[in-house]
Amino acid sequence: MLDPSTAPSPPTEQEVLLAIRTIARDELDIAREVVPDDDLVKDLRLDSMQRITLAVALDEYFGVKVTQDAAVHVRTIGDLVGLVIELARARA
Amino acid sequence: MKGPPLPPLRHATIDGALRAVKGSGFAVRFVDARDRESVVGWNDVYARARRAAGALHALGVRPADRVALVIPTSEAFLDAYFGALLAGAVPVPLYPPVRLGRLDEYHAATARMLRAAGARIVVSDAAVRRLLGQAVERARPPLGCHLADDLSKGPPAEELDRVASPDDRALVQFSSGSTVDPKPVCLTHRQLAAQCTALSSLVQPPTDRKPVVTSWLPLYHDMGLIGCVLTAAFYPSDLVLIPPEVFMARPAVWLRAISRHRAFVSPAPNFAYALAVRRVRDTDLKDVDLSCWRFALNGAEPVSMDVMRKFAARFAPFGFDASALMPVYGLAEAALGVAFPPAHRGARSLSVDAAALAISSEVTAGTREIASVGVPVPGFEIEIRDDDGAVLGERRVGRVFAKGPSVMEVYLDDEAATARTLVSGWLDTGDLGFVAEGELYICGRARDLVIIRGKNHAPQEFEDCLAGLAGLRPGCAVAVGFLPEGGSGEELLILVERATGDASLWVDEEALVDEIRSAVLDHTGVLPHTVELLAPGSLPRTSSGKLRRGEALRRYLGGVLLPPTPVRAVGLAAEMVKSAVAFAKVRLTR
Repeated sequence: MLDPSTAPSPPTEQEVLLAIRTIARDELDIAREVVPDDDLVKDLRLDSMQRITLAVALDEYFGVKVTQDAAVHVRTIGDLVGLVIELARARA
Repeated sequence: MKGPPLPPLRHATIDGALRAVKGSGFAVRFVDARDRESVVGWNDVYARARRAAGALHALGVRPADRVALVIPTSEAFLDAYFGALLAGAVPVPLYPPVRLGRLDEYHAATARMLRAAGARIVVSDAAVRRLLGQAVERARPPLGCHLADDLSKGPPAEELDRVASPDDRALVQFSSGSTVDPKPVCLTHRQLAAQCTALSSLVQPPTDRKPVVTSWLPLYHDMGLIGCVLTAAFYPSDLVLIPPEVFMARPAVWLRAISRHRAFVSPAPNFAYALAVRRVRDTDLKDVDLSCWRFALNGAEPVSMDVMRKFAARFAPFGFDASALMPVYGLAEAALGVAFPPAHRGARSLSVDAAALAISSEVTAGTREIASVGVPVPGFEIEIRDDDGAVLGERRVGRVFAKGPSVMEVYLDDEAATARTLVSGWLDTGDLGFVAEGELYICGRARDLVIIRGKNHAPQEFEDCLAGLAGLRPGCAVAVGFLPEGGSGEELLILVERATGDASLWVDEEALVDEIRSAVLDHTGVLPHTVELLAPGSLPRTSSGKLRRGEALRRYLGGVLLPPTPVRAVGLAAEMVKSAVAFAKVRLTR
């Protein structure tokens, strides 16, 4: 797991996607590999508890707070990757 | 059925309990997702509350005003909650938004609850306040929306420490699927004090070590606020709080906190025990010892015996003792607890015939296990009544009525709902149950309510998502909670009628079910377990045309949810003959 204190530069898209894939596999019990076009609801069927799990896990990986207001427009995995990078940049 | 008498109240009011706990040396700890902790002594909780009370007063809050709190589990919540009480006001805790969830429904529901509670002011934290704009704009609390941090840490206002009287209101809490038609439950200091006294007499702290209560339950929920925070102040004891979202994402944090602090009690709804079994790995539990956990209360949703057994087996190697499991029963209208089994006995159950239970209300032997929730808590009485109000004997299913010192007096400003729910001092719980060998079993629900993961939902929340979906008969859907065979708790069942007419023949049923599941998940964050497409006319209705959800579920479980007998050509001819005969009879008898 990345420690935010030793990872000062914002993560790349690939790094964030990789982290989300790990979370999806290990913690959300999604058997297949998720892709950026996957819709959180229509394709992945994430319920509210899985969404919370995803948000908290991303906080831990990248030290960013994926808050409700920031995530208003997040529909797909790709949107979420973009948001994490944006939040990490804003913090740096 | 009568519980033991209520012992003398430990404190007459909640502010009285806070003043008493401040000198106890006990403290409140907050745990994060990495097991890091912050600590604040009860003496500091009290000092900060006095400052917050002064700040609320300076903002215009006066005694008996309702103060809405939309604050995640944090020190800020305690500041605002106890601050409101010391200002003589009435706290109204509401739920903060779910992360990565939809906001439209949240805004609407929060606005409705603010209005129903008649909130004069809203207190939140910075992250939540950015989201509350719409709800606040719709509800227009006269004193606006303020940050909890500004109350306790802002420029020092004069401290305030009002002494409440036992009959002052001390809490407005919501329940029963509040989001569609919120029912604000009004509780006085005396009622809360009675509940906390009853709980602390049932859940006895250890005598050989420091008492510690650990909880991840949300503080806007009765089991978290009254059952853990207020009861910890009543003992008094240490209190360890974990934000609910941390528990959901990292259930092991809960078990590690119980072990690390040697907690003797930690309550949770059934799903939490199932989640821990599914998600916690042995590597998460290095050096964990759960032998301290003497009261593993299981409440707020139907209890699954299967989950209880799996939990006990899974964590026995970590010192967990199955005799600590305690399925309990209660509801917000009674402040919290209504029935508890004896301590240290473990979960006990009865196996009944589910179909017979659904159809005939008879308790006969079968394969569906129902957990006993024990006997009335101190000061409480319970009766099982039939539809005409007659009290039923053992092993007959009826509505559960409860009476006791912590039953609410009213729903705030809603006389009609109050009159429906409180019948000459007795609370109609809306739950169905029976008594066997002197213990209470809850086996169903007469009120329209779906409980998913301990959270109450009005069925309309789910049904309304289906408006406008092609292929469905408009307004002909019901959402009900049910216990699927082999499942781990209550799940969502959607029963919906197909559209009438030829158009429906061309509908791809699989795609339609998929669309229904997406729509419900997207709007509510809950994925339906089962969606049943039914022939038009299958759902039972009242004579005035309203859908009968409970009856629909009964027929579904009994395998008899069918459309009315179709009137085919032969049938029609027979009807005409019968009709002609009837007319003929009439003529003959004239």
